[in-house]
Amino acid sequence: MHNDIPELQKRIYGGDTQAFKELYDCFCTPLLQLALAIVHNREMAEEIVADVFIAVWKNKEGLYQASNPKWYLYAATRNIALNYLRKYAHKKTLHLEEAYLLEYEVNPEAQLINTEMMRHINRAIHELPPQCRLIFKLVKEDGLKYKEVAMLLNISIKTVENQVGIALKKLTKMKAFLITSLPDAQ
Amino acid sequence: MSNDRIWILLGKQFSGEITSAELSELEKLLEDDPGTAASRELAANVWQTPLQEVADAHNSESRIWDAVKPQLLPHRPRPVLHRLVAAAAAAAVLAVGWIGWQHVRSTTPALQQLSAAAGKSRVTLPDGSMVWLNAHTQLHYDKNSFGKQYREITLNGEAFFDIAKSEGSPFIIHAGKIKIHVLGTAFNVKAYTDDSAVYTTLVRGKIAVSFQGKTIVLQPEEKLTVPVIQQAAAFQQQHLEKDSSGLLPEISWLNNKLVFDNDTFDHLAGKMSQWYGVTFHFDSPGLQQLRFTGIIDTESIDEALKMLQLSRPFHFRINGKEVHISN
Repeated sequence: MHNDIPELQKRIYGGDTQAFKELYDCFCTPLLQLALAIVHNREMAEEIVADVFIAVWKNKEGLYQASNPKWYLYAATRNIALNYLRKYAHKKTLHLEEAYLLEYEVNPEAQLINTEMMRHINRAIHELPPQCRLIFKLVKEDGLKYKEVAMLLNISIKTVENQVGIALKKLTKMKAFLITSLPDAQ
Repeated sequence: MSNDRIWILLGKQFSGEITSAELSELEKLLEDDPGTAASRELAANVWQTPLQEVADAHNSESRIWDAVKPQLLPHRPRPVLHRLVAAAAAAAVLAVGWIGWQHVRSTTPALQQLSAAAGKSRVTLPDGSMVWLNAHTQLHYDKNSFGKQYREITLNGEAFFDIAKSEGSPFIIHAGKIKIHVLGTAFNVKAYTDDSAVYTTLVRGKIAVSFQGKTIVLQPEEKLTVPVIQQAAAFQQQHLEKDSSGLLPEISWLNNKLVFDNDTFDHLAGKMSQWYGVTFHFDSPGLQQLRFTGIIDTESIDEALKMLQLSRPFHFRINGKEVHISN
């Protein structure tokens, strides 16, 4: 995550397209993952994220005034994704579900640059149920508050607590297992 | 026995969501479970390991950018665009209407009392100022003198004010032992007789709060807390953070939302009593120390309590206007 979002907000408000690209690079992937988790279709999720960024650019003042810009972007993505779902719900077909599953395919090239340990941990993460994985990622990686994740996904804070606990337990168990079985593990 | 509770608490600790009560609960649980305690460091390690994003095999990022980039240029027709509604402070949309105030030519004091018993209400004062009264709030003023030299009112309870501008006729609110001077502005005052302090939160404009010969000028989004009990003026002035919906928690009651953030059940029960016009009874003092975070919107009291039960175990029984909380 970019460490000076307020600075970006200010520059974007002033019409700085470079700053806008920096914001895009920071948030494109996490917002795409959120959109994918809601609509389960890559093409639609890409459109949603494009809509989010176009809307943010057109309404720079909205972003500038947002006291929590990260939440602003996530909430906008959620809202736009839900609008799409409402509009295109009838188009949902079986092959959309397949496309959704492909998202969890592990890319071997990306793994080579990593240690054996990280490879296994990442695989363990990808083996978590999709909802659990998304909640864990939103809290741990994207730094959202439990309350924010609950509001985004329309679930209870209790569910967020439980899912984070489950993910942490599974991954720690996996790591403990690897430490005893992989001599080179860090 | 399942140790899932430990993992939930560890997650809360690493993410910084843990409360002090939960932290001591965690320490206690770990003491009784050395096996899991041994994994604590490993778990912290897992938390600190960045998740590896799967490389963008689909080129989504560049494809999305191709769609966004042309829109950055000025004067392009935009495609189907979903307008973002910027989160704005509730007060910003409150229009201030000026209604001419006819002088009442009587000299005997005529006390006008406005009140909201169990519910909430909105009143318009003779000068056009609008006041939203929270539950159990009374507001009074002298019909004869109001608006002549001063616009003076007394508040007991909580209200949000949107004051009409009137040069030369300052608006003064008496709330507990404090006095608030206003020009044209919007702010919230909470001064229930059983509160331990008077809380003033400014949304926009400028106000001066006086008490015990001191005067404090508040800037927008600042809150002033003046304790009722202490003789010393141990007041507290703080800048407020808007919450994730872009609102100040202090004025959430206006939007029919009851917001609580890591509040004790005791404190929350106080808020809920006002909200629903009920009385709470706790079977044991331990229950009063349970903490909750959340928002009550349009739920009934039954639904709200059921929602709270999702995060902490307790039982409740509603008997008319009495709510009994037990283990």
